[in-house]
Amino acid sequence: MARMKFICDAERCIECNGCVTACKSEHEVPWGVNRRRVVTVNDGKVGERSISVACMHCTDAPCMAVCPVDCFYKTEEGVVLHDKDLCIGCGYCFYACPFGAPQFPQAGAFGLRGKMDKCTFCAGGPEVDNSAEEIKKYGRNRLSEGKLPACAEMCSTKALLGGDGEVIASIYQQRVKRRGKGEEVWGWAMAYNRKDAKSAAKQEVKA
Amino acid sequence: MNSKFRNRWVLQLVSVAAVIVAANVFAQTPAPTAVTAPANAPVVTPLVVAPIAQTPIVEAPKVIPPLPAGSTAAPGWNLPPKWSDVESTGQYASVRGRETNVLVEDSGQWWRSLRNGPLTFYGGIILLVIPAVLLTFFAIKGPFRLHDKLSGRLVERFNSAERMVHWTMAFSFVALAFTGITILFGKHLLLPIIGPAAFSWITVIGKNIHNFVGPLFVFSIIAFFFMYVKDNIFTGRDFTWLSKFGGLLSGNHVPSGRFNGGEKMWFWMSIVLFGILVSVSGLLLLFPNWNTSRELMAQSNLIHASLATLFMATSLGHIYIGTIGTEGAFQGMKEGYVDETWAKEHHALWLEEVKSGKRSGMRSGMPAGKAIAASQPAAGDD
Amino acid sequence: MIGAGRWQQNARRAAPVLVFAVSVLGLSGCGEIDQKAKTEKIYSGKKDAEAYDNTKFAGDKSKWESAMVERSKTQNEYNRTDTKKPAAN
Repeated sequence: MARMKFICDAERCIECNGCVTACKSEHEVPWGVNRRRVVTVNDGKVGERSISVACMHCTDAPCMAVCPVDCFYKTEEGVVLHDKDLCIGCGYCFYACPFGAPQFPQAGAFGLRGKMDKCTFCAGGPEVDNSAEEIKKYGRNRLSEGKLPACAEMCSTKALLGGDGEVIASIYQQRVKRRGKGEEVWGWAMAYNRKDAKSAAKQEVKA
Repeated sequence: MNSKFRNRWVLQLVSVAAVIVAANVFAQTPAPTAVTAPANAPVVTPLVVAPIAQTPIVEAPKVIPPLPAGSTAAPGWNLPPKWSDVESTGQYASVRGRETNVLVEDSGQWWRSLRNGPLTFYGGIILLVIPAVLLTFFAIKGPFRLHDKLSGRLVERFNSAERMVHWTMAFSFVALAFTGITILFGKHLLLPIIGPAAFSWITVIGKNIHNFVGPLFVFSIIAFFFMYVKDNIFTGRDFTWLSKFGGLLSGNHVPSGRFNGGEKMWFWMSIVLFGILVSVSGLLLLFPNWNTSRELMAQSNLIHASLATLFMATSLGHIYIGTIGTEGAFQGMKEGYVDETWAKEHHALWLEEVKSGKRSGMRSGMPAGKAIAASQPAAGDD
Repeated sequence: MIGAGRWQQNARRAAPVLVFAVSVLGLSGCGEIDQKAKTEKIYSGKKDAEAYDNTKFAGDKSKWESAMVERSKTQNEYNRTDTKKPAAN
């Protein structure tokens, strides 16, 4: 069975925020709501890395566990979705989530929280697929059209991979085998594919 | 009994037990996605930011880990960030907003495990056991009755301002308690019965009641504190009262002032201590626009829910003693006046103060025709 | 004592059966553990249609899954930029 997953390859992410823009444009989320964001770790320092983060569709999702009205559910593919009609805007999922995925549009004075909004893995919500109501509440349902999440498909460097977990894990594995990981991904030889880089990669694979 | 047979029998039992134990030990090895996942790794692909434990880069690397043979990398100048740089530490994010620059915030897992675990479990037990104990006590011993007949002379115990503040606090407390209970326990108790849609409506209305009644409760606590603190200062005789459980065991009342040791305990522990902590943590949760961090909100929520549960538990005792548990006590807070007999039996020193004129027994206008001032003997008395 | 002897005989006959039954019971503990988190069963709200329950996939789950796998594979640009397989594969 397909298990939907995201991976962000920190060696490739160039912090272009294309995923953020793709998501906002695909789902027309309200102002102040960002289902996806890019975090740059050690910005401006040696070894800087950027990484795109949104809902990770956890297997044991903390948001589901703490929701006082149990408005979360999980699809067969492991996508964590929720019913906005049931959501009371308490913010508990926001406290529990390690990734800061749940977003709350402001619904009144004093920062009163509206209905929670988060990444749906482009799988909509519990309305009729691609109905006007679903698009209004949850955005596009690309999965039902046989497409992958807009952020991953739009990624210019293919840093953000999304889709069937086994497939994207093998893509990532192939990359790591070929180019190395972490500190090794560096240098002109690596960038311009010189022979010494290839021999380095080969040696690494042997090791 | 044949010893050979017995030995075989024992052997068989031991082997069966061994099989069962071994099987269960094997079966109980935690599943990969067990609920008790470590806090900082809730089932995410670990490929992304693998915490490669290496020396920290400050400006120039001091200890450079070896690179694979043939690598063209400049040693030490492309080390990926350490996990400790990522975890719960603010980084850079071009998306603006509260804590958008925090990649992973692991305090939520701690909050979740405490809230969904001990807080719900023991809190629920406390809120079920306390009323059961009180009702059992009532069924066995009944209310504390007055030993003497009513004198017919009334003493003013609470003036109208004091009563108004008390009842504002009481009604807002009850509203907050019920809506709070719905949020913590509702999905276990109410949701399976009435279904998700109806429960969501109840909870969203409850949440708004909780949000808007909360500040009223905070104000009433402040007013209550200043009105009642004077008579709630602990004195030596309160400790005598407490050490004798207010005469509960002996049946003899220990003389006390306007408030006895138990009432002072309720005042200082519940209304002052719990009240302040629950109010402060509640206000932190009430205003998401104060830029409160998730960690602080989670901590506030734990303090709020656990102390509110204790507050509710102690309030049940207070409500019991103030209503069905003590004859004539409810009248004092409802109408403001108590009978002199009641005052003599429960608060003898206070009555003495009133009678000797140290303290006025009449601080607000008495309703016409309702009562007679304490100093005037009632007709037909003696 | 005669009765006790008969009981012993019966017990002797029953013992292997019991041992077998209890062993099977014990072994059943080795079975697969439910990998789903408890929280997955709690939602009782509106049913969501499956992603393949539409005109395009006509409820064919395997068709949808293979479509998703194929689509996922398009994210591997090694397949497009470079026909040579990397050293590992």
